[in-house]
Amino acid sequence: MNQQDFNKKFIESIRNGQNEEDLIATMKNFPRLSSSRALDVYREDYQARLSDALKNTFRSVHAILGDEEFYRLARSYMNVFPSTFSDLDDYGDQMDDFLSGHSLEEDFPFLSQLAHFERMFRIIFHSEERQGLSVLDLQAALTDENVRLRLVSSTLVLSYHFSIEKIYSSSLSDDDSPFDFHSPQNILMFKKDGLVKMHLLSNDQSEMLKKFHTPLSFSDCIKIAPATMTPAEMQTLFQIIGQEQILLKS
Amino acid sequence: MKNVNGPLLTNIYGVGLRNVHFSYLEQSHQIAAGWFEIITENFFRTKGRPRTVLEKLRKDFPISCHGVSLSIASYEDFDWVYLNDVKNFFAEIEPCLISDHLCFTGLRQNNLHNLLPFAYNEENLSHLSSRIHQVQEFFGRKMGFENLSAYFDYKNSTMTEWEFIRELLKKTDCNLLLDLNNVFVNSYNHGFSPDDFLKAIDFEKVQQLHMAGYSERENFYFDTHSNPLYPQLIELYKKVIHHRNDIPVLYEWDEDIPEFPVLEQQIIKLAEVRAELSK
Repeated sequence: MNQQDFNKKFIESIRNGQNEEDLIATMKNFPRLSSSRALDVYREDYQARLSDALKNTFRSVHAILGDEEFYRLARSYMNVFPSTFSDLDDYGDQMDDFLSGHSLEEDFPFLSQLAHFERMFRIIFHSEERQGLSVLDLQAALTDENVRLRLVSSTLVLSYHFSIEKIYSSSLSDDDSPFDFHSPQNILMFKKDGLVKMHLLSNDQSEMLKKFHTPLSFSDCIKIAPATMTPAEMQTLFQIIGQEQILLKS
Repeated sequence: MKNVNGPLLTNIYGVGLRNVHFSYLEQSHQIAAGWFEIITENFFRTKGRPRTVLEKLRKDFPISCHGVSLSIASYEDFDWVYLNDVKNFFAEIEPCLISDHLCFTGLRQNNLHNLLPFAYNEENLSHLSSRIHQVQEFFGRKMGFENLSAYFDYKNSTMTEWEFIRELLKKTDCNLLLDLNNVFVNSYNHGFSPDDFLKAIDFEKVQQLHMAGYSERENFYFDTHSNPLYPQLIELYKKVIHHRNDIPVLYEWDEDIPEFPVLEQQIIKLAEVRAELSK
């Protein structure tokens, strides 16, 4: 068997146990380590490395499921999605899709959305911090009809059917007091001072802020504001925008 | 190929930069390490905290970049997007040394994220020589390639690992990143003398040493980078010093990572060994 064929068969063997006899026929036994045991060593190492990478990204999912269930999940994920990444830490980009409709959601119906939240958290953590307009600059920009504003790139507006932020923070803390996780939640996630920060938003605030993914003038924004949005909600939203500097001139 | 590695390392003892130590390092403690090595892939695409810490550190310390995903022994084409990003990263970070491993890591669509051995024969010698030439041309500088810890060999190997490396270093103008822990682990598991390995090496082509602590599994040693220096490693280091005493040394610790001062104790011990032998 040439090296190219060996490499392919070896990878298949590590992933799903195929080709073991072919490979062993090519491998040299060592006194301390048989070829069969050597394959196991690489197989165990592969599973451990990828599982640990998933555990690092999905800390809250891991905390909720516990080691045994999480590693079972990780192995089933690996069977479907091999890594195509050069950085192992990037592995797991399909986890929320994978969990959607998964049997684990019978007990934890929020699991897919929690995984999505954790993946977004990681994206913002590694993003370049961009500073938007200060309160004063924002006030000036809001009165200028020609100025269009958009969200800075290190900002996300996320909507979930469950209280994801509460589930996330309580799963990673010692706080085990019960709460109703069924309340939908809108989350503004952004980067400031090197940290990932969040604000909870109402549905109307979230809907309005999402519109700034494409550049808008303030008057456009007012025109398309949800009809149910109260002046107080509008005021709070613009306080957050100014304070956290999340809008830029386009 | 020009050797643009530099600046000169005045304190030859370095440690691997790991995120668990970021807070400690940011508090401006006296640091015993003279330089830091990063895993290239952990830093090259992030603009987050790892990059911020790296930018601070590189003002005061030389940085070496050690890759884990080049897959030089693969029979697929290089991942040119990856290589291009790495090249741009090198231009920004200006590493004093760059390196990767003598291994394949999987296939492009199926990266095992492990450092996998290949047969030591003429076919692979020629293949790796050509690939090393290609990648060094692309980066415009010499690289170091690290010897592996491997848990099997091939029946169609026609050379020992050290014969292969000696021939590869002759055939290409790359450098060797000599991992003494891997030499020791392989010598124990495969049943050879580490002296045979060291005797074959042209130490002028060794750009740096790696040292780490292995762990024991059943009846073999496993390269886990999870322990302090073992006496056997110190003995091997003494032998290297007899060949050349100015090779930059890096201590790696990747599992059960201790507080930073414990890591520093390892390089202080190595520096003491070197000082003792220099008397």
